[in-house]
Amino acid sequence: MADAQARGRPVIQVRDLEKRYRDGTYAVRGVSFDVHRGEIFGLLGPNGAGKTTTMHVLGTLHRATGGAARILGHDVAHQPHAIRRRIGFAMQDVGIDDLATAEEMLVFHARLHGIRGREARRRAAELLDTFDLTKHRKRRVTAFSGGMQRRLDLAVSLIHDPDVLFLDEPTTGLDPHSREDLWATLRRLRDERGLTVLMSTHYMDEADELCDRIAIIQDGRIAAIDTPRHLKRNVGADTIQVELGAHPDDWQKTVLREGFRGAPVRLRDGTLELRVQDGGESLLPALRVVDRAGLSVRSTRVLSPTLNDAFLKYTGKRLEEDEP
Amino acid sequence: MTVFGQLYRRNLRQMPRIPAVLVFGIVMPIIQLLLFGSVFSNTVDIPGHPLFGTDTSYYTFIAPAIILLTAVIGMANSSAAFIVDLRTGYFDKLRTTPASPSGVILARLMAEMTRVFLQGVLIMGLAVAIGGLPETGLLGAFLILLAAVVFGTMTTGMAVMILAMKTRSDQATQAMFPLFFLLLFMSTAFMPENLLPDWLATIASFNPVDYMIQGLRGLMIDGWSNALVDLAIGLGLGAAVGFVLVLVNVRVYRRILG
Repeated sequence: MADAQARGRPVIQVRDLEKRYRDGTYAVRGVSFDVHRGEIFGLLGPNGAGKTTTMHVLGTLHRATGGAARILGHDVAHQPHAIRRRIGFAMQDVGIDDLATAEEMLVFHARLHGIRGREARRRAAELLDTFDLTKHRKRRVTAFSGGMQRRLDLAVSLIHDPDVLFLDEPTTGLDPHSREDLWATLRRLRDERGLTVLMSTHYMDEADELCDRIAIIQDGRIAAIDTPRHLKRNVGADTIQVELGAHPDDWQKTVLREGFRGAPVRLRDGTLELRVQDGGESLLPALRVVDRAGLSVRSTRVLSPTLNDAFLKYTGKRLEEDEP
Repeated sequence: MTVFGQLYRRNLRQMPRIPAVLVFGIVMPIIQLLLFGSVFSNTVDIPGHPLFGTDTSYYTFIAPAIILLTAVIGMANSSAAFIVDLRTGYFDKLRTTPASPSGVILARLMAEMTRVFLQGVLIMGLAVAIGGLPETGLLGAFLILLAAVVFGTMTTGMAVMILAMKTRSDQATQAMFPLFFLLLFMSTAFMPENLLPDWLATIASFNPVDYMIQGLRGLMIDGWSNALVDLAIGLGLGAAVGFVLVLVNVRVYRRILG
């Protein structure tokens, strides 16, 4: 993914966004971030962190009580109609018309966006094909499985070829195969159309695999924003674990110490633990040192920091702790 | 076609897909006309009844009340599809499109008004088949239907939209039914004023539904001159109720928007 900062003016600009409820509690407090064209930007946090509220304010569904936000240069508070013409929004609760067929729903939404006649039907057919729903196009959506409804909802959100797509927990309820299909589709839309995606998720792997950048959000505040790689890198180094065949004697320990040239290394319960910047690159040289010391190896492991480690670092708790 | 037109068309397309509303809306009014018309038909033989000694059918006498009942109950049912949209999250989905929220709600009401108008046409057709055309002719028949639908929209139509947005519950909106039945029976819907007990006649004189029934019945039986005053009072009271309900609707909607 090319550097997002090089893409020009941000498509989404959020400054000190605040949403306070009547009872005085804050759903979102002082949230600021930019999203650039063609970027897949993720809000990562547990349920209740403020992800959905942030997306609803940016998608013109709720009003902010403070701060400002612009989508494609339009102010969300004062120009919601201009924004709605150019965004697609797939919500956490799938928004489908229970009384329509899949094809009717797509054509209807195309027409809402001013796309008429044959073109509306052409786009509907194209998206039905993209989301593998063509053979179900005449069926009422009530008969659809949860995964099919979510795919249809996404297709509807894309019918007018939006510039920005909001996805609130887009893969909740999808099986692993459907999730990966959806990720691939989003990447393709990003690459082919320059689609900008703002998505929320509480799945670490989804944020890690799909998002170009992530905002870690907790209790209505953003704790960190960066690429998944940098967020993980900031947690610390990789760890190489080498389980030795025998306990090293003094000479062997000297060889190991000299071989690793003062790098952070320790021996614990017959396992050598070595902290390195890049575990993949350093594994082979490390094993050569072990071999020089005349030690056999039972097993090796390379441990890299995960997004959960990053989440822990920035918020003080693990994301899974909040999951039901 | 405009966005509003698209929403209106979509709502009309949905109607055959909610059989309960359709069957309830068509079958019940016919049963009510035939049943009430049959049960109370001999009341025209009571001296003092306005139809005593005339050849006007009792069906003609109660047809405006049944049409009003159909319009009011029909508009109370107008929340059924709206509640489906609210529950499924589709209403929010529409709010992220160029369709304005007020347009979504108005298109819903317009489609329901169309449905209720067509149900009214059915009742009117039956009443005409039994008792002949209204005194005011086809224009009068049209006005009876239109006024009933407008009154139903301003009162129960607006009220159920509030209940739907607040509760997202069919049960809450159906709480409107007994209220209207009460207002209907506390009026001259089935009996002329002079045959009602005094206490009921007094209540009826404060009942906006009664003004509507008197006005609609005037168009049906008497002609233009007597009917329009009652109709204007009835619609005026309905509009006042409707105005308050619109304000409440806006307030409730703004709360949703938060």
